[in-house]
Amino acid sequence: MRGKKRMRTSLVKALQVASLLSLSLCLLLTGCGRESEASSYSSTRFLMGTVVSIEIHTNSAAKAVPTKAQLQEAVIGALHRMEEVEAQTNRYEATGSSDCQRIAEAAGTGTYVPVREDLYLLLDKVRQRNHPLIDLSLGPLIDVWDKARESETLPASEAVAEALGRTGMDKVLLSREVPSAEGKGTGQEEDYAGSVMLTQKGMSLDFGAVAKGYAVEKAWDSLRASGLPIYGIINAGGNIKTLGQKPDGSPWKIGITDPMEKTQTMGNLTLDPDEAVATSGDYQKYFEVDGVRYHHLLEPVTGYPGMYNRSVLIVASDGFDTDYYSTLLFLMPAEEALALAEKLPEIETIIVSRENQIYVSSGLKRRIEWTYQGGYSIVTP
Amino acid sequence: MSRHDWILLAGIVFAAAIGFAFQAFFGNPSEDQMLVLHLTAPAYGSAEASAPEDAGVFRGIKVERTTAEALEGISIADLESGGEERYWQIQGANGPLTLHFAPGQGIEIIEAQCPDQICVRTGFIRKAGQSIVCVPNEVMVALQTAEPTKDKGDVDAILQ
Repeated sequence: MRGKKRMRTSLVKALQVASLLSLSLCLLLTGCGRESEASSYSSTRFLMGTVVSIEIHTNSAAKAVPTKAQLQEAVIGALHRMEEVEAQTNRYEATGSSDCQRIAEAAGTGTYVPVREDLYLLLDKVRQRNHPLIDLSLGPLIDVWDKARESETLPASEAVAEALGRTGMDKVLLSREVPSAEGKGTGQEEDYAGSVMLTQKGMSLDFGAVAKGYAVEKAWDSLRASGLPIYGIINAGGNIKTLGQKPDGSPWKIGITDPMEKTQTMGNLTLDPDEAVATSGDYQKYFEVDGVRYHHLLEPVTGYPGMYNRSVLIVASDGFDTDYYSTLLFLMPAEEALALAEKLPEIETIIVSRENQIYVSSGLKRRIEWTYQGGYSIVTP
Repeated sequence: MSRHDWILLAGIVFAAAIGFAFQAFFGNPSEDQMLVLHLTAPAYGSAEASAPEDAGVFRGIKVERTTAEALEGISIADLESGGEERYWQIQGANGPLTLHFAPGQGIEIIEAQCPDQICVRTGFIRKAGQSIVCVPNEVMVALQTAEPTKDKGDVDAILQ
């Protein structure tokens, strides 16, 4: 009797404890659910000739949880930072007043045009690396191929040769000095970081090879500078950078577009926290004549689209590097490109050659999971 | 408390945990599977929409999102099964774009004023997470679930 009674009271107690526990569990779970819902922010915009989306989430372990307004401010701040880069480097700006367009206007007149920091840095970085395959003065040549793509007809070889004659990094002069007469009284004096001169009439700069990767890097800097306890991802189409680590500690997982079937992916790649990736591909912008694909990645020596590869992916910690090297390696024969990547400790690569052979640098072999259904073969050196 | 009590208690907590886990993973299936057609376009009609809070402030472009229901009555169920074939136009930055809905096939852009025709070449979309983009026209047609961040499946982003 006594035993039974004691058992009954403790059963009641147990039930009380259990109901309390499940109630608090319930509150905890739904509470968390609501919180994580409220602590994310994402925005998508048309920027730099592509769709840019930035998505951030609050770290659940954060002591001071940011407000929705703070998250929104961080995302919009990062997008505005990219907009600043675009306002300097865009050569298609409708008003014709971007730094890049002002430089082209003054080409051949012997005057230095004052420019802001981002454009100056981009030119300076590319000049310092001094590789013949990366040329930021291809504007005239790109104009020829843009027209060709619109009409879907090959440009005359004379037109390509003529445009090529108006290119060359040796004809791009860069100075840290800002001409004193320029910018006076406009309130922009402090913004100028240097000046640029194009020595030949009809020249123009094009930053397509590096601007997006650089802008993604600056957006990332901007998110970090917010000081908020956040993680997330910046996706500008062919350029991605991760911010921080996912709460479960798993690596970021990126689907890679199949160059032959661009609505599909051919594999998944893992990225570490704060790592960037970019792809240059012949499927991104192109037209076809007689079954040959003429795309937007132009070879600065011949003036024609690079014909060795379908796509080149680069992983690095810096967004600028991913963009720069994906363009550079794309314009090299696959084996040479792979050898270069293996020599440079800061980059890893995946190359899909025109013959549908896949080359993977040693650091990515364990980070890629292929999902394609035939059509490619993996080259193992 | 006796050993039995502990077992009982553990059992109840376990059952509760299973219940919560079940709800977390399989809860509200109807809501999760509901597709929404998001249309982003410059100066798209302002009547409908769950516009994002920062819409309209960016680069002077008015950005609105609208559901398929607003597009002359197309329902998302039609995307997968039936409904009537139809065409409609939206205004892009360079001019009108023509959208085509084909029962069972999905939605595609069949005509647009843009140099590369990338949007037209994309073809049909019909699954959550898919989108058609026309950069020159600043138009995006995207199919999403109620939780767009989960549409990408097991990846966090797609590298184009």
